[in-house]
Amino acid sequence: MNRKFIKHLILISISCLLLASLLVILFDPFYMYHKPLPFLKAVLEERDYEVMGTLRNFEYDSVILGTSVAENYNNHWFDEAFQVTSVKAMRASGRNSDLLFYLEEAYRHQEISHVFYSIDLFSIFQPTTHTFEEEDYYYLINNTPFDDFKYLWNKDILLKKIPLQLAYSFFLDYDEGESYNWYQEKTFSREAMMTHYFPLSSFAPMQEASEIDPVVMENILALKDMILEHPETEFQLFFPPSSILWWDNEYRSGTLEIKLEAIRLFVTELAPLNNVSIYYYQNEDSLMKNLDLYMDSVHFNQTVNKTLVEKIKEKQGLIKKELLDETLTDLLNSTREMVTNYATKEILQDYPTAVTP
Amino acid sequence: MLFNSQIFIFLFLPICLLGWYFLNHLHFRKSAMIFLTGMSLFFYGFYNPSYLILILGSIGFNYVLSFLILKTKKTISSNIWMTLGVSGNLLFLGYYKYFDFFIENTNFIFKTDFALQHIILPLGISFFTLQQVSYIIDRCWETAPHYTLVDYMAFVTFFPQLIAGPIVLHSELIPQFQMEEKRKFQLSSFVDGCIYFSLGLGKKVLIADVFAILVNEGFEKIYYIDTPAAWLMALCYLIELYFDFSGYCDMAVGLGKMFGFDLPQNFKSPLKAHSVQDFWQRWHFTLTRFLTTYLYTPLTIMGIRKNKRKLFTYLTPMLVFLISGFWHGASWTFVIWGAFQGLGILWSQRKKWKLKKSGITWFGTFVFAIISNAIFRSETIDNMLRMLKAMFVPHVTGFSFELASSLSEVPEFYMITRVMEILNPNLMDFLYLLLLSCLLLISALILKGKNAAEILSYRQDKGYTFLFAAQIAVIFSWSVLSLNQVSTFLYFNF
Amino acid sequence: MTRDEIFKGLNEVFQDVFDDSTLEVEEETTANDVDGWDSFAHITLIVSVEKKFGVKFSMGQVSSMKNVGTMASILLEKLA
Repeated sequence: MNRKFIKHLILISISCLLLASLLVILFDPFYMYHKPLPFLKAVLEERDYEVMGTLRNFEYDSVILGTSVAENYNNHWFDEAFQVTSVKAMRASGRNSDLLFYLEEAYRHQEISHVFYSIDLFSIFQPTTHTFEEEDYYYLINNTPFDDFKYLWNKDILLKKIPLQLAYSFFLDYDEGESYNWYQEKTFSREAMMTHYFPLSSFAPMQEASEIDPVVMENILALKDMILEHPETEFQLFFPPSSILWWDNEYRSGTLEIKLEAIRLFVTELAPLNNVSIYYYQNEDSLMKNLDLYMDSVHFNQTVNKTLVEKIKEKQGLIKKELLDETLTDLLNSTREMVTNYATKEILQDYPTAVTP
Repeated sequence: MLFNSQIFIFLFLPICLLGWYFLNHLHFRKSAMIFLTGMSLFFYGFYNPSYLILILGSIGFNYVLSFLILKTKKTISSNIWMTLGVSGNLLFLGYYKYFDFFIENTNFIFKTDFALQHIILPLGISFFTLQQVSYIIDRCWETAPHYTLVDYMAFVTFFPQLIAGPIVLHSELIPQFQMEEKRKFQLSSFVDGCIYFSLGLGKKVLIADVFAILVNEGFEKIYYIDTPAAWLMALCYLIELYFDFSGYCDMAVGLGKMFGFDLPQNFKSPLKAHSVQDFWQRWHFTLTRFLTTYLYTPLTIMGIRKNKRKLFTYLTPMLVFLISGFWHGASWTFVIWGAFQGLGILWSQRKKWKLKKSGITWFGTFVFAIISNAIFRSETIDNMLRMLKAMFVPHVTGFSFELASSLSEVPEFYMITRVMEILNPNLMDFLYLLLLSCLLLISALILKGKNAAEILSYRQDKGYTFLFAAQIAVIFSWSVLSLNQVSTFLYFNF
Repeated sequence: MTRDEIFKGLNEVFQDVFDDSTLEVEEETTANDVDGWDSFAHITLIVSVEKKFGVKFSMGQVSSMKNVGTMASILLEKLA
């Protein structure tokens, strides 16, 4: 009797766990094993879990790289403007090295004609090692099959992610281009952003451009290596605008020149390469000073994303490769002037609570 | 390593069992013991190998002491060894568990400024220390032999009971190690072990962890709680703690049985108790047993022999529970909790107005347990007062609805709540309340029904059916599926 | 003193402590078999037995009394 009982116990347990695994493999909401089934939409809602699967198993020829600022692009805008099929590889507060780690994976699986890289000044100041190994979802990132049980035996996947995928595919509106978009949940306005802004009341001494952290150059060179390795790919690198208050903060913290220097090093090193185009929008008055477009000092709303794609398509803001040094000096001067002449005081008068004591 | 992890269930445990039975099959008895000890130490040091030094040091100290007691039997009074042994163990525990607490209070009272050491409590230290204190006392009382080092180490480190009890006595386990017939694989014991383990795993993962969501949410937002919320939180914590700890102990007993060993039953349906005294015979029984044998009985007998019967009758229960409280954690809230238990015991020892067992005595004891747990769960005196004030000064803000809405995190409820959100968002509050009521109802039915031991003996009489196997298998598989969860990220976590 | 005599004495003590003149204990009787035999009653019992037989148990002896039988054996040994 004991023998029979243990036989039943083991057989039923194995069947249950096997059934669970099969369901997960079939629907595969994180796309670890295959692209979406023909009758399902590509539901992409949680970048950290889904980017790796997308890069491994989707069919695409272009990658949109970036941090949180870039998540609100609609993939279709790029697809239409450049006649490509794009996927996003995003990492919130990501390092340049995180994004290159993703890009490397993309090259392992697809031929890439275009890379659209939204350059975050934060991320090129970060160390050149990637940050995925400490994540508790590293089993989704690495290539070992031995830890896949964490995905296959997981009731969150069964009860939350698969139903969500089905619901989006059959019952709810879902635009596949809006992968990882978050603008729907947020308020963009001058009022809203001022609640996040606490300007320093005094100015720190301005650091010299030469004091820049050497890690910036290391990041630039890592990207350069990647570009040189892939002459078949067109790299469209662009500096999206940050709000004037973000720059104001750099100014007050004494790091304005360091940031401008980072841009100078970046453009000087990469612009001469044949398969690179660099676009500069950190001097766009109307996008930087209109605070109603922002939810905090760096995150703008979707209309800005849309405008940027149109500008890239029209080659507005493209840094010309001839007379690069002069052009670059002019560009940086325009940003510097805009920032140093900006009357932060005026705007702060309207928001006395924003001033830190 | 945790029992409720796949690496334990599917890797560590099978290796242990195979190795153990294989070595015993070849009659390598000593090697089998050493293998078991080695695996237990690996289990213990899995997250932090440096703790291995502590446990080995503690074992070494006590074993040498036991050896000295043997060698100096005729020359040195055992009282000296007892004093040395008990104080040595308590100092060891005191340093790792209470040093910072002591410094903090010294600084507070004498306005001094000693630096805190921020000592992280080593795993299971409270348990293996008590276990060895009991051995040393038994050695001095001449009720325990001096064991071989191999047996002694295997006993202290035996991983099913190492980290969170039950507090197994040497006399319960080591004789079983030495029995020849225990070394053979017994299918019936193994089957019992699997059932115990699955039930315990289910209790922990499927019930306790769900209530934990709600309780943690409540204590995080303790500034907002109102009267119904406070009672709800305390009730849910009682349920959480019971299922968590008794689930853990069921797993321990189950693991023991897989190796063919019987470990003591630590929980005997405590929430069916009719008095506080009854409660402590059913809740964490092996702790109560330890305290009764080594503290309460000797102290009270001493008092009565000195003709201080009245005084000691009242004093010792109080003292025992103050110490018990302090043993549970280095914080004044635990001391207060202990005092509260002491009062409860004194009340149940009263001679006058004795009540017959009835719904009233059960309910009174249950409410006592709820209030106790409100104190037990509060991390600080401030929070404890906040909690008690919310419980006893009636005011209602509707915070319970918010508390209940934390259940939206439970995967089993995800679909129904999302659908309701679309159909009729106004009814969400009632949906959450309904879900919470269902959870409480299910828990009440489980608590009212047979406990794991009773289920097993019932099944042994009636025979295992296919349906029973299927139930256990589903509980086990569902628990395994619950061990991994992906945290749903808040959308904006830049 | 014989084992029977010891049991006779023990029965008197038990009847007195548990206030039950019909109570009869045997070799195998344990705390579970007698209503009201809790840890406090246990102590009262021990002290009463000590008084009745004019002996003093050591703590080791107290802790090793698993049932009435072992108690009787210990007494027998002490009185021999």
